[in-house]
Amino acid sequence: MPQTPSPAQLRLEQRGRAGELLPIVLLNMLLNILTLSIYRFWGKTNVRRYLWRQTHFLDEPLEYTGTGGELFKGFLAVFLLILAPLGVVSNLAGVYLEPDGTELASFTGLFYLFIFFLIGMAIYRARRYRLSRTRWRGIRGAMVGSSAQYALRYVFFWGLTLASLGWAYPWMRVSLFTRIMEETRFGDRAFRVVATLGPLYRLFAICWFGSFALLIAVTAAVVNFSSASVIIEGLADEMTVSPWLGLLVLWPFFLLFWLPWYKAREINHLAAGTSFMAVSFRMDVSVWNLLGLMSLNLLIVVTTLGFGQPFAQLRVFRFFCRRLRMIGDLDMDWVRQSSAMAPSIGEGLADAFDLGAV
Amino acid sequence: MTEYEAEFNDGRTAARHHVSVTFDAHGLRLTADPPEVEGIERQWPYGALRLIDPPRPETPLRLTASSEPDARLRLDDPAFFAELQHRAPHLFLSGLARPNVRRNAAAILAALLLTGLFLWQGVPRLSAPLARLVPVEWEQKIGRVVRKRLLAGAKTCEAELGGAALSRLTRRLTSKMEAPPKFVVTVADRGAINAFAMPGGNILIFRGLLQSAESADEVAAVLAHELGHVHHRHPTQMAIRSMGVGMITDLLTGDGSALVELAGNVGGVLLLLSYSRDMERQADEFGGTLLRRADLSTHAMVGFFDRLRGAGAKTDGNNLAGYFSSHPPLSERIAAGAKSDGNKSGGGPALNNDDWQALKNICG
Repeated sequence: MPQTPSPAQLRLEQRGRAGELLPIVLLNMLLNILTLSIYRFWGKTNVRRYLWRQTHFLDEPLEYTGTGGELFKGFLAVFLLILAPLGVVSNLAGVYLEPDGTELASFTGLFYLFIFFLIGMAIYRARRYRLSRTRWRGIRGAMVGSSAQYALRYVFFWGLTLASLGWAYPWMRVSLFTRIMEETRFGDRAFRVVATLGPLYRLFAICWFGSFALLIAVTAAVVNFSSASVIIEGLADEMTVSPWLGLLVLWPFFLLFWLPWYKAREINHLAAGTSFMAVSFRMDVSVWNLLGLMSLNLLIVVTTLGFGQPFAQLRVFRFFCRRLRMIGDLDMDWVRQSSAMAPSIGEGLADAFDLGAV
Repeated sequence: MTEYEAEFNDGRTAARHHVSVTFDAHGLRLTADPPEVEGIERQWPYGALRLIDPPRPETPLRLTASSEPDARLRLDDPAFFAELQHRAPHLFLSGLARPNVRRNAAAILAALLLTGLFLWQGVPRLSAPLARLVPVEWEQKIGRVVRKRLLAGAKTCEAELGGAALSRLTRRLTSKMEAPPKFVVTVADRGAINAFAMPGGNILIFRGLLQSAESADEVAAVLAHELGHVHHRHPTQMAIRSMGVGMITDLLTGDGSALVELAGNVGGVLLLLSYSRDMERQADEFGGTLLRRADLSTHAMVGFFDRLRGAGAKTDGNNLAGYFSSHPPLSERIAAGAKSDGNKSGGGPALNNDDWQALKNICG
């Protein structure tokens, strides 16, 4: 009996409540302390189980089938096969290469480039693990691409972004998002992304030039308050550059100031470019929504010394579910089970680099 | 026999099927509803059943079977729940009663115990054989990094007469050794009462130690003791130990970034740990043998320790914090030194008076 839900029903619904999450978080805290933090893998799994099963689509909950043991083994594997050898190599290099020579400098450069590569890999692999452990009506998700290729792209685009003083950033975001979504599967079905760059670049240009406007405004204010200019000059002395160059060093922070405006547009734009079968997505996020979510979450995590992270995650889930709309008819009956390989252990890299809060 | 209405997903597609579920002697029987839909019939033995989530009020019960872990059965009926509890009580165990919880708890406990055991016994026991595997060339490079840190900008003292006196002293100490280890002794222009052996046979003596010694015999004793550390490769062992401990700590807390930060930081880490009692005893034994062979006093060391310990009350903490905090004068060691044969400077003082004065003034 095929279902034909009206478009209005196509919503993700997060029914989780902080009060129900609290006992899970408290137990995790206790066991983390008792086990010198080894319990964190199981604790994280318990939180995910809760968040997933409280997320409903067409009145059917999502299901998280990962286990703490898988995360633990994933962490051990990454630690022993990647982190420990890296630590040994970097230690030996610190000892073996001349401290002030170019050899050590180029080693350090390559080393951090590799770390960056690993971070890209970690992002992809963590997503692959989570999707393979996410089920709805028994059907699981998957990532079908190569994490190494994604990581190469990640390193390349970040290099380009730095070299172009930020101008490659919107391109990078669209490219990485397209890549990761088009390699995402629910069952045997793929997501499609068609996202243009124009609207993002229009806003980005405003933000980029706006950061200079802000810089000039702040500089003018500084010049008026001589005490402040002493500080700037002191800062410049420290860096042995002229005060004006000193201010330019601060420029990236002015660019970051406009970031929320850009991010809100980006979220809406990328969502609108995404489709799954006959359904297209819409996100409705304003900069104030985003700032509200982020600042309160930051407050929650900081004031609880990180133990409140699950509550911040619940808020992100709620935010996402509330603001995501799906337009079109969805006939899920034709979605078949995924035949993609699922990893047997998970997320070691992401854990090592402290990525992926959820 | 009661029939319960349920929703079934076969795990092959996301299509939802209506089924009716009945209990029999062996398990759950699923039949399509309406019956003409094909491929839905299932017989799930009680032993194969799994609950997706622990049961909660006003939430549908969701089940799967270990024979087809992709399939899902969903029921809303409280009467079904009651009957399942009766027929398959093993599904409703909680906490430590569940075998997988017990298994995980045991695994975590075992991991903690093993880690503790490894830190307590494994790392110290492995460090000596591992240290022997480190090529001398590497040791010397590590030694140079550590030396730079210890000097901390202070200059080394190379006054001509003092330098000659120092090499006479070291020659006298090592002349009777069968295979003397490669080593270099340097005096640093620092006031602290301290001396260090570093990986690769670098020995650093601070000016403060020379000035607070009453005779060349006392300096010879300290030097002999440090040569013992060099001989047993203790500095390299300590580097290996601190790296091992650091890695285990990272393993526990999962902080890979700390590991990366460790790069090139061996020197700093090396100083965090002081030698174990066993290492000090080995260095003492070696030093004692060296002194006896060179016909030098083995009591000078004890005297030096005793005097500085006695002075500890009067001297400011900084001065005593050096050599004698990293080389605690254990009563056991003092007893061992005093007990060993009464060989009291059988071969005269370690250096003649002129040489001793030159050595004291090596920093000009």
